[in-house]
Amino acid sequence: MKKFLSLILAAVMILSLVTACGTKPAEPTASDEPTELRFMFIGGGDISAKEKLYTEIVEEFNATNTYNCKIVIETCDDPTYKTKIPTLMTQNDMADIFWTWDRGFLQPYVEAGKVYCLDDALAADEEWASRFGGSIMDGVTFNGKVYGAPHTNIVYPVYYNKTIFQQCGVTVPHTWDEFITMCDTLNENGVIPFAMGGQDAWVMGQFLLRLVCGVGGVELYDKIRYATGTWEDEGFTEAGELLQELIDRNIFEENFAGVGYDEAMSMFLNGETAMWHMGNWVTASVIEKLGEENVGVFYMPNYNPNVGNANLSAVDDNICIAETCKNKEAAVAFLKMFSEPYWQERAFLEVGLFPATNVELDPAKVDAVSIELMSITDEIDPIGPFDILLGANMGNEFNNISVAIATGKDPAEQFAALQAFAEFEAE
Amino acid sequence: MNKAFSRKRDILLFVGPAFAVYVVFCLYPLVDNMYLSFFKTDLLQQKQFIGLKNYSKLFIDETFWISVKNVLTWTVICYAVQMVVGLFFAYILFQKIKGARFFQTVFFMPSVICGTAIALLWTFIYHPTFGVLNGLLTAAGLENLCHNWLAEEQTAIYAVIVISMWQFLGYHMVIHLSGMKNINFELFEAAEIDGANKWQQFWRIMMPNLRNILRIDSVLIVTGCLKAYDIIVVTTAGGPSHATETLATHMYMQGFRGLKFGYSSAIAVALLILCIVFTAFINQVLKERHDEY
Repeated sequence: MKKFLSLILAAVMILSLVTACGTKPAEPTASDEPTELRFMFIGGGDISAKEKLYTEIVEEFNATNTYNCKIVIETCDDPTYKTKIPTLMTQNDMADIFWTWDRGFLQPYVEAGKVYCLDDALAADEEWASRFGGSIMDGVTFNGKVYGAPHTNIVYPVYYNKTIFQQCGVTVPHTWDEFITMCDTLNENGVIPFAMGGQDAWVMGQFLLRLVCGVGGVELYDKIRYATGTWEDEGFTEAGELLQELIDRNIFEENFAGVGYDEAMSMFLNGETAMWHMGNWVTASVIEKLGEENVGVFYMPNYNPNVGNANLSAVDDNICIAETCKNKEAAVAFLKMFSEPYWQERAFLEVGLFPATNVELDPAKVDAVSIELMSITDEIDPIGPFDILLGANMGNEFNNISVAIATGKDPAEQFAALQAFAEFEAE
Repeated sequence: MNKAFSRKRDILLFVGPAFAVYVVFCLYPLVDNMYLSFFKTDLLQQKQFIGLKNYSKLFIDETFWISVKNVLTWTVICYAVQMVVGLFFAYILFQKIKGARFFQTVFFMPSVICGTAIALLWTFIYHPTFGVLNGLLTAAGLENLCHNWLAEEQTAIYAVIVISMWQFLGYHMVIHLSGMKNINFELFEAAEIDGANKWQQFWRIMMPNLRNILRIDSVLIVTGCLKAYDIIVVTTAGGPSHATETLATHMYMQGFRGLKFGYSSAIAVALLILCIVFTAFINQVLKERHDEY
């Protein structure tokens, strides 16, 4: 009896193990069943307006496409997404269509042959190809081949609270001296000039990068972009010292290094600070909370008046097709929708992101903040964050030393350490 | 029952499935990870054999050594506190004080809550502006002791260690308590009749009898600390300036963000070696002993 019982128990254990491991449910076999294509992008948080727009594009495609395809959405938050992409790519289980950053982030996947080349599709549809002008495709072009379709551009202005500016009697600065005077005046009136979420190192990295460009212009940025210079260039050190000078002038809230991105955003939206330096993916959220009549934008003046346009900008939204995609023809058709004038206009009107194509916008429909932003934005020459340009390791290290400099470390030493790190990485 | 287990086929049937799971999910990944550490690979393209280069790179990787220093600090502090305070609390509860069961549950509770929630909770406690800690210090007139706990390089690592200590103190206390409850109570009664005071009973009867439990618990504390990950990710993400980087976070960043899976595997092997060395050391110091009374 005992032996019988032990055999039964063992059998149950093995059975439960097998069923727990499980197998995929049987695929539907009916021939008219639509092919499911997975579309993966970052959702939620401060980009919920973009998520809503993408969902509508998917719904439209699902309702009208003639490929017998159905797009299924997969979203997650930003940090999870950064882990999910390499995991799925290495497992050859990437979503059929996916949102991505360009340049250094996309490069390893392109080089590994995981991303579908769009050259043939672009050549076959000249009208689609002609929608993209200038250098917009640069970030998704590797060895002369195009691997993604840019959706929108991002610029990094300073958002300001008009009511606070009015109460303190300050106006939009056009020179560095005016900028400093404005910050001092705000402080004298008991208003914190800038909200800074320094606990998230990328936020401080973004701010320091703007100062770097203000000191040395695109030329200094290009020394890193094209590997013609080093981090020990005195322009970087000067920008670090400038950051410390600004902090000594109390341009950020107290304890800024312990405040995260979301909290800094709340501070600005609740009127606790006068300004916020951030990418224009937040335009919709800022308008929603403060009202478009109460928000203005300007670009931080350059420290060095001799440098030209050195405002930060990037092609942030790129849609790509995985090499493993089950129906590439349908996926290309889906990609084309993103650059259609109708959806490009809606991306601008509803999310606040600049279109990646040469679409004509109806000024009557555009919110005041975006109109102001358009009017002050010259032609976009991508000067994007280093964590996109150089890949995660180098970019994160730049962000880390930005925080170290902001909390009092010697800028020259920090950039020397960054150079040593770059050489270590290059080995 | 003994008869049932005397048959090898029955034993195999019981142990087989669990062993298969162990091989597939523990042993194989471990060996595969070691194998991977000899390659330069992003797992996307053909991997390139580079011998021990990943290991030699560890010696010049500043962040790796910061991580080693941090996990060792973490281990020493947590071990000292969780062992001493855990034993102390367990001993108090062992005295069958009023509400012992209630306190036992309360102390144990943080260890069943997921690390992410705990870390988030403590982020609010440490918040420089509206955090409870700085609030209490200010109320007590100790403003000069207020810090930006998670954002200052000098305080960040200790701040996250406190979170880990707080989370698992009750867990280790319960292990100690269960060990105490397993000791034959007649030993204490006999000692009391012989005139031994509580202190003598603790050192001469309880501690020797807890030896085996303490050995297992020591391994749990040390390996748990060496592998620290979740609390760091939620509170500081390894910052500021790598001040709270641990081997697990460094390994993750190199692998999943930097796509250097070979190097990341070498860090994992270094972590494994640290765990093995500490476990062997603990087993040596707290060797199993069967005292007879």
